[in-house]
Amino acid sequence: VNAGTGARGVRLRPGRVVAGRRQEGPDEDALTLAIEAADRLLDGTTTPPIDRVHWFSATMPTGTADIVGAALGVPPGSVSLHPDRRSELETTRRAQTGGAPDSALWLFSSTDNRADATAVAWRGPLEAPSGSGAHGGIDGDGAASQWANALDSLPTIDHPFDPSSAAAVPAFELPLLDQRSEGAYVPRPRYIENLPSRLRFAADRCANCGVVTFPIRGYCRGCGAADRLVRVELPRQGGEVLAVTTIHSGAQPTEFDWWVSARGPYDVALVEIAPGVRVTLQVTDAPPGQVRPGDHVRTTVRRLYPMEGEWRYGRKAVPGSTR
Amino acid sequence: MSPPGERAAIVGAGHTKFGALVEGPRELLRRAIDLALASVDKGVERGAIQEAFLGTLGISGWQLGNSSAILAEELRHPGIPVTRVENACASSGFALRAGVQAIESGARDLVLVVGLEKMTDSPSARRRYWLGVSGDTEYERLAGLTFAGVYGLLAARHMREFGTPPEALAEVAVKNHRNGVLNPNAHFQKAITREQVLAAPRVATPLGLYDCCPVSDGAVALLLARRSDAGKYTDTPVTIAGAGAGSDFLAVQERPSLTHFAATRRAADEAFRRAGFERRDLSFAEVHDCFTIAELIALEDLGLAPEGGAAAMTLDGRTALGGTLPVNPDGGLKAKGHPIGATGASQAYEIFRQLRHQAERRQVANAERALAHNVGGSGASATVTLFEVR
Repeated sequence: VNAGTGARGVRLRPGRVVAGRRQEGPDEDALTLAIEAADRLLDGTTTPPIDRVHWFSATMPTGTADIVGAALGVPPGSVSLHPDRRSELETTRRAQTGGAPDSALWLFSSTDNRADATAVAWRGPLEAPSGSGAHGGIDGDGAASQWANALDSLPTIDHPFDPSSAAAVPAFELPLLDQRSEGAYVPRPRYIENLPSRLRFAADRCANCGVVTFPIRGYCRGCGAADRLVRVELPRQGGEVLAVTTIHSGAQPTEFDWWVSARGPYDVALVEIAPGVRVTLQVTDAPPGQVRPGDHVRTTVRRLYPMEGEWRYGRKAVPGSTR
Repeated sequence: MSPPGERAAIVGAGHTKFGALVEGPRELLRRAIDLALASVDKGVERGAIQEAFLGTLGISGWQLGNSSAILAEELRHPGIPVTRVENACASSGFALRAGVQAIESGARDLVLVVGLEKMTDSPSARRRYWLGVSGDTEYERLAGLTFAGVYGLLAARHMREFGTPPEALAEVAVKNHRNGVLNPNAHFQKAITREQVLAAPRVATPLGLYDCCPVSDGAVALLLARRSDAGKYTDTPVTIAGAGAGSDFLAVQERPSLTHFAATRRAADEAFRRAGFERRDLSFAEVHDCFTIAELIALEDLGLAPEGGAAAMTLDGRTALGGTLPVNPDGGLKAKGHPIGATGASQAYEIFRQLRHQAERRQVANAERALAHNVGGSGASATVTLFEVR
């Protein structure tokens, strides 16, 4: 389900209801919901270009704005993370009035363990929601759901979940965020450098020989040329599963211990996202064994693993052929 | 191709037991070296060794850097140059190749090659951490894969492309365990049935517990001399007829083939070109069976089975002891154990024993020529080494 052409906004909420609340999965948070909502709204197009992203979230640390920017493919520094204050929203909204149409993207997302987990993506000048109490909940974590309720004409997407997981997520240890590497790991600068390939499937197509090099290496894997590379983005809506394996408890890297304790065994698939281009993706929102070779999967940004005080994000595979 | 007189030959070899051992890394090194020195028929002074190469991953981090110096210490001959060679599970396959090159180049006359790993003295979480450090970190490990998972994907693909049945994977384990019973150095000396393999708990589907090699400790030492000088040490040296090696993309997702290892193919082509004999001349082969699927992939890459044909070859018993081409008569990594850095040297040790007809109950009849195949990780690096007695 997409927002559809011409829609100015979209509301996204988890399809799973636990104890009356729309609950996110263990690898989702306000960042992944915001990116998913933006992906659904933009549907792969970035014309006209977005030059400013205002992201309202009370819970996400400042540094995550850069992750959202990389996921949306906007220039560095384009994403402002606002901690959900009404006055800030009003000021920001007024400052935007008169700006180039459609050049701003507004994101609201919240996961606060009390209200529904929700994200709203809105493109263009932000119009004040009509109706009483529309601004009432801007303070605090309920912002996204308040705005979403106010903007009730927005198309609403129930983000698919594995129906068999319709139960509360078992508690897992957030102190895992303190995980330290004992040696081999991806240092943060290398993680940030690689985000275009990891989050947007950025690749280089060689104008010499036509070979697509993924992830970006700075030269062509086909002919070795470095001077005729054209930056492209491979389809994020997914591809065909070439092979899949179910990782049982004990066969996971230590970085995935938190996932095994939260959800148990998981699948990892080798997915062909363009002819001859493969990517290795953990499968989420599906019980182990559901995804089969030959299936089509789509991809979505999720939490991968905790490292040195923060979550690391990347794309995962989700069952289903289209968005 | 070097004239035969300039080739390298193994003149002595020592092998500790493989398994969960109480000995620490220093003691394992010392024992393997002392066994190798004692095995030289006409004797050798440790002071005659001019250089050494140590293959080890350094698991647990007990001495992660500069472990070379410890080898010199335990040789009780500090002062000689020692180089640590690290190519994951192919570390001592590559260390052996470095030793062969030191001899063949004329730079050295007597070289020591040692493989070592001490894996079982760390808690299991730390062992799991280490077992994934040699795959692609960004896209494989951090998508949730260790080597079991990567080989699970390769097995799933092999089954899909060639119709390889689970029974063929199971038969690799059954056969190698049967051979391990005959090897007093093996980690597992216990036969298993096909039903046990198929019913075992899954690790990374389609691979189960008995499809995976164990976590083992052990050390192996090899003494290399010039073939033309080897008579000083023994009347039955084992000649290294050809050493080949190759590399491939680190991440499986970047390789054109998901069912074959290009590094193995390159290494085999080079080794046979150097050796000047053919695959049909082999008496047996030691191949890298870290997971059961790896033995099938190896047989096809080495040209010992047609593409997609390793399953039938295995199910027909042609790779069993007494078959047309026995594979892993020592039990392979699967039953003998896989102390990461020691495995390549251990394969050469088995060939040294077999070609000198000292392999006791697992002796391959009329063994004259053999192949050793050692893989780093999931195929990012590989060596193929050919041996003969003549």
